[in-house]
Amino acid sequence: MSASRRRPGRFGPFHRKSAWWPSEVEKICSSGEIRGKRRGNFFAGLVPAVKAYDGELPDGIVGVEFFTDVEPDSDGVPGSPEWSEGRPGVRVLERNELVAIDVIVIKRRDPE
Amino acid sequence: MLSLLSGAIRSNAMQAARPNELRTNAFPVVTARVSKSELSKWFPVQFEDITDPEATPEPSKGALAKLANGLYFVLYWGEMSKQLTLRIPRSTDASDFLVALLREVPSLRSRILWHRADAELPAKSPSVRSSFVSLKDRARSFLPFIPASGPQPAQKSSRGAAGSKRSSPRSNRPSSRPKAPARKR
Repeated sequence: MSASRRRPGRFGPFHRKSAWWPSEVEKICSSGEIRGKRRGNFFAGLVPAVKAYDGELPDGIVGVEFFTDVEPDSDGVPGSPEWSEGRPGVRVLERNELVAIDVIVIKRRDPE
Repeated sequence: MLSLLSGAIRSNAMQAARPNELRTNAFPVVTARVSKSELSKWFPVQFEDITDPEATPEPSKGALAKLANGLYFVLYWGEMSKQLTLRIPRSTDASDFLVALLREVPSLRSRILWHRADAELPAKSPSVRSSFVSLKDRARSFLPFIPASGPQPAQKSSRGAAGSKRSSPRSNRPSSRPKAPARKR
């Protein structure tokens, strides 16, 4: 494989939109990880998961574009990958509460 | 009396469930694109805002609800994407859920973006018009003097399929139909 076609991670590109949470961009870039909790609000036994969107970071959108070596859940919604607790490669920071995956950020766009 | 009546009506429609009523994980079964007003109209339950970036990919609204037949489901709706995601427990039959859901929210059908492979969409109930056409077609097969109705989607497709696969005497009949309007002119 040529260097130009080499991918920085096994899976991607994915992106997070961070317009509502501008500090998230710096947090992800400096830590090299994205964290995920349960969606909250319900005691429906929901497991914590990292959540993102498929594809490159759209033009003009604040956020990060990333790759990862952790495979997304197989039973997710197309276009909205998730990495749930219990999946290989998903790090448990707080059991049933907080997980993280390591990411390689290839693009960031900060708020102006 | 009125309250009894409204209670009876309520029990026949979806309603919000208490958070602890569902204690098993729920998995995505269907997504749809709906506006905020449609969301509140079609799912008349109390939503909660989810704004923690670690909990959601975008600010969302969420609720745990129960269909009239008692099936629980979790709703998430993204403020920016306008995408509604419904999740159900593993123990719920996905096709049964869709049947019950679309019975209560028939308008949702046209907004569905994706549904799980094991979730079969129920067949559309035939419209009065298509039922009429189908009856007329059946009658024409043994009563040939019945005049053909105007171009109907059902007839068009069946004719097209027949025409593409085989040439039959039936194909002569439709060819005479376009002449009728021409004569009128």
